[in-house]
Parts: sequence; C-alpha cells; structure tokens
Amino acid sequence: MSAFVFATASYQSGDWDSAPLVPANIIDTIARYTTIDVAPTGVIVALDAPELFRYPLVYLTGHLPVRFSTAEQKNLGRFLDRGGMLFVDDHNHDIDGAFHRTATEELSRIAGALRPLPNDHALFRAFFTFPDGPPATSHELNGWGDNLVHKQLLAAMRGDRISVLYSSKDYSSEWNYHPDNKRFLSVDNTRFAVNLVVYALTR
Amino acid sequence: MPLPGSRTRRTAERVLRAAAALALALALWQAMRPSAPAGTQAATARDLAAALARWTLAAPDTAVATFAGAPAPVVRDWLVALRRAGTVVRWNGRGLSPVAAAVERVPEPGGSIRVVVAAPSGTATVLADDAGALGSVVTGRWGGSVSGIQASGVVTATTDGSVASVALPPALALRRVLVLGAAGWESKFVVAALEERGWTVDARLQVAPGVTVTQGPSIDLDTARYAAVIALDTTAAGWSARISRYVLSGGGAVLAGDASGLRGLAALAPGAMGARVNGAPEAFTGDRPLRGLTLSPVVRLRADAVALGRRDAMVTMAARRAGAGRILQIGYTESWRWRMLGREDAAAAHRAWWSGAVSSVAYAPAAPIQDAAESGVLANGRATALDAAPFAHLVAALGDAMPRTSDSRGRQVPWHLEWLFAGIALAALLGEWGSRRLRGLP
Repeated sequence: MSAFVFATASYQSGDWDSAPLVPANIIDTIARYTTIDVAPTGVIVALDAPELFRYPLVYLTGHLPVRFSTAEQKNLGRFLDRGGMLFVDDHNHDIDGAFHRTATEELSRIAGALRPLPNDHALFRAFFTFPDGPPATSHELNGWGDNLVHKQLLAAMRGDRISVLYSSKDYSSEWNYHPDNKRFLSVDNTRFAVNLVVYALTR
Repeated sequence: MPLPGSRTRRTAERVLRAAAALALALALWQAMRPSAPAGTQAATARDLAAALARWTLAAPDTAVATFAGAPAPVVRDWLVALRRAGTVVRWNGRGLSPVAAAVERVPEPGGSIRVVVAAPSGTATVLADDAGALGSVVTGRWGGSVSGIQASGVVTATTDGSVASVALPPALALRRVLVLGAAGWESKFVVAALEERGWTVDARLQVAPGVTVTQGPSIDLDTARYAAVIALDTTAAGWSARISRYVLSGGGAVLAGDASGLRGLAALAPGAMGARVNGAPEAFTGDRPLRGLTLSPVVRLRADAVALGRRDAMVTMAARRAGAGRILQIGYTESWRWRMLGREDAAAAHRAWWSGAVSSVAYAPAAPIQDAAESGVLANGRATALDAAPFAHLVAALGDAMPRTSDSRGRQVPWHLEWLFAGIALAALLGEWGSRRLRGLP
C-alpha cells in the first residue's frame, strides 16, 4: 500500500502558498497519532494538472481573491466527481473577506452549494472527538484573537460524503508553525487535522 | 412376305403392349388409392387444435403432427396423452429452430438478471419480457448470455419462430458487505464504489493501534447478516478465524492486496501471493485499464481453484469453493488509482468491477415468500404455459422428428410412382407403335 501524501493545491490566482508550514505540521500529527503510512514530505499540485488525481485529499488556502481558470474548474470538477476531497481554509479568518467571497463563489459553481456542516457530523468523531464541532483557533478567541468565532464549517456534499470542506476558522494560521514547537502547547491544536485526514481516508 | 425375325419382333411388341397395360394399371392404382392408409391422420399447425379434439374422440392408429414452431406445452402434453392412450404419434417440423433459455438473478443491488441462451451457433435470439423488448444476443459455439438487465414477468427468447419462455426466479435477499482494511485510499474507494452501486457496506478500518474507524453496527460475521466480507490488507489477520468459519458456512470472501498472503487465510485462499509486479500507468487511459494496476499475481494455484483473469502468463484473479462458501482472490492492488486516473468512465467501471467481484462470491438466498409476488413468481395458470426449452422438451416427449424425406404417412417416397408407371406405359406404347410402323402396319 502506498503512503498517504499530503497535497497542497496551487492555483493561478491569489496566494496559494501562504501557509508553507501547515503540511509538515499535519504530516507530523498523522505520524504521531496514527499508524497511517504517511509520506514524510508533502507535495504541491496544480489544480489544473493531471497529477491532481493522484492525491484524493487536497488542501487549499490563501488570503487573496480566488478565480479559477477554466482548466482549473474543469479539472477540479472531475476530481470531485471521482471522489476526491478538497479542504479549503480561509487564511484571513473574516466573515466576508475577499478570499471568502470569491472562493465560495468559485467552489459553489464547481461542487454545488456550500452549506453549514452539522457539528455532530462524523468528521468531528473520526478520530478525536470534538463534541462542539470544529475546534476554535487562537485567532478566533478573545485575547490574541478577535472573538469572531465561526461555529460551523461549510461543506458541499457528494451523496453522504463531504466533497468540499470549507473553513473560515483560519487553521492555516493556527497550524502554520514548525512541528518542533508543538511541545510548547498544552493541547495539540492540530488534532482536528487528524480527523480531517482520517475522514478523507475512510469515507 | 413377313420379314426375317418378324416373329421375334411381334413377340416383343406384345410384351411392350402388356407392359404398357400393366404400367397404366399400376399408375391408375397408385393415383387412385387412398392418400393414407386407414387409421393414419395428419394435421398441420393450422388445424392441429381441431385435430387434437377429433383424435381424442376417435383415436387414429397413427397421428402425424407438422409444426411450424415449437408447440405450446399444452399441445405437446396432449400428444403425449394420445400416445399413452395407444395412438402412434409422430411429428415433423422442417423449420423448427431449437432454443432454450435460463434466467438467474444477479446477486447485486438493483435486481438485475442474467439470461443465458442456447441456440444454434450464429443465431440471433431476441429477448423480451412483459414490458417489451430487452435486447438480443447472437449465440456462439457455447451459447450466449446477457447480464445486468432489468425484467418483469416472463422472459422470452425467440429465434426463427421458436419461443423459450421463463419466469423470473424469486428475488434475492441481499445482505450487508463487510470491508476490513487499514485507513487508506483503497479502503475508502472500495467502500465508496460498493455504496455507490447500492450495497450496504459496513467497514472496520484500522487507524492506530486499538483504534478502528467503524462504519455500520457491530454485529457478528455470519450468513444471516452478511453477503460477503472483503479483506484488503494484513489488518484482517485478527479476523482470520471468523472469516474461515463464515466462508465454510456459506459466506463469500474477497481477498485483495496483502490479505491474500495472510497465514490465517491460507487454507481458504485459491493460491499464494506472488511477488509484486508494477503496472503501466499509461494503461489507465487505454482499453485495458487493469494493466495499470500493481499486481501481486496468484501463484501456486490450488487444484480446485479456477483462474478468472490473467495478465500475460500471470493469474490476476482466482476463485474456489471452500465448504459451502466461495473465495475470490484478487491480485490487483490500489484499484483506486484506476478510478481516479482512468478515463471518463473509470469511476463507473471501478464500481461495476468491485460490485461484480462481491457478487461472484456473495451469499444471497431467495427473498422471503412475502416478496414473491414482486419477484415475478407467477400464478399457476400462467406458469403452466412457460417452457424454457421447447424443442428439447418436444424431443423428450415425442422422440425425434420424422426424416425430412418422409411424407405424412412416414414412408420414404423418392418421387411419385404414378408418374413413373405412366412414363413406362408411354414408352412401351411408343416402342410398340414404332415397331409396327417400321413393319408397315398402322
């Protein structure tokens, strides 16, 4: 069985590479908690490339407005139709920012409407249990954050499976640190990433 | 003065005259004798119904039936009854085409059927059901078959006027499928493919030591609950004893990937697991996408195992029976790559392929009797009109057809004798007349 490879999507508009440390951190988390055979390094795959189909879970983030090219739209549509899953995180952590507006428009056009994902969805029990739904990030909470808490994730479904998972919680900032620094945290804040990967690999 | 030898000639002329008279008499007798000896009666398809009623009231010594197509079971049975009552029954049917059909439910969601047809090689057989045409099949040397079609009521197979008709067998009770494996793309996409095809799938996918992602209820692995179990890798090792018990009691198992090499399942497996051979990724978009997959061929095939697929000289899939159950060993690994990297129809083909694999071993008993009405079981009156192999049943009931050169009385008649006798008479008279004219007589 080949190893799970964490793939980050590159796209022609915006800043797709705004969270370069996230892949390493998630790979570390998967290796730490599970026996999933995970490749030690991630890959970057263009949304319009045929190689996209080698990585059925793809992570996409950015701050700037997103407009997919026709080739990107078409390739991503085929990818999702075949059972691929796209995890999109708004690196801005705001309500109606440029990334959010444009990305949700583009994704809705390709994958169908993005709707709030119930906080009791299987995703939140796939490995660790998050009884209140998606864990809040430090950027959301009062203190260092702005107290703007997004209570739910959005999702486009394919049957009863998540096809596109969209987060406004800014996990891209939350997880964008070197894995070695995880030891300074009382609670590992990347645990939700395990749920995300386990869900993708089992549903 | 008489010519020399005229005595001999006169004798010859008298013989010719006698021969002509005899031939004329025979021709007249042949032409005027009754067309059938007393006690032999014939009927064709057009008047057979009336003839049967007549023969029942006044049985002839011999009854000869000429069929344009295979007779209905009631006609056939009627003739058998006449035979048993003492009448010699014979039949012929020059254009009769043998055809037989069998229908079986495919143990897959959706209730599709498989129709198998036997007919002379190269014959086009039209399939239909109560709702209309289903398609056609051209039979080869070993017959022909069509799978994956939906039908209702009675399925008929028609060729050259002969019709085989079969009632749908009762619907099958399809149970759940259990998938065992590690969390990974293969597990995910096997579960997805089967669910998209309509199967109810339970899964036990190992994520970490002691941590398993469970889909579906925690119920025992037995034939009352599961149609088949799929083991995708070595995480199924802990299930070996349960899988063995399940298969021996009638369940179906699919061993794929590294599960084929599990020691605990070696007694069940159709063969051993060979060394891994890489696929050719470019094949995913070709006509034979399975060639793109990595393969651990089935080696050291058991004597009772059947190879179901090959890549060059390597066995890619093999199956065998164990106890009351069946096991399919699949040498391909990471079939998800076919689904993701293949042509536009790859996802559908991947679904169908996995569903077919499960179907080939699935334990699928007939549905409970309350579902029988929906499953096509017929009322008695209609069921008696069905005949899955009309020609074979006709031969079994009435024996072989009469030879082609026989007339309705069953005798060999190379030509019409009355014309032969008339010809002989004419030739004899001409001979006598010519001889007399040469002698100068009128």
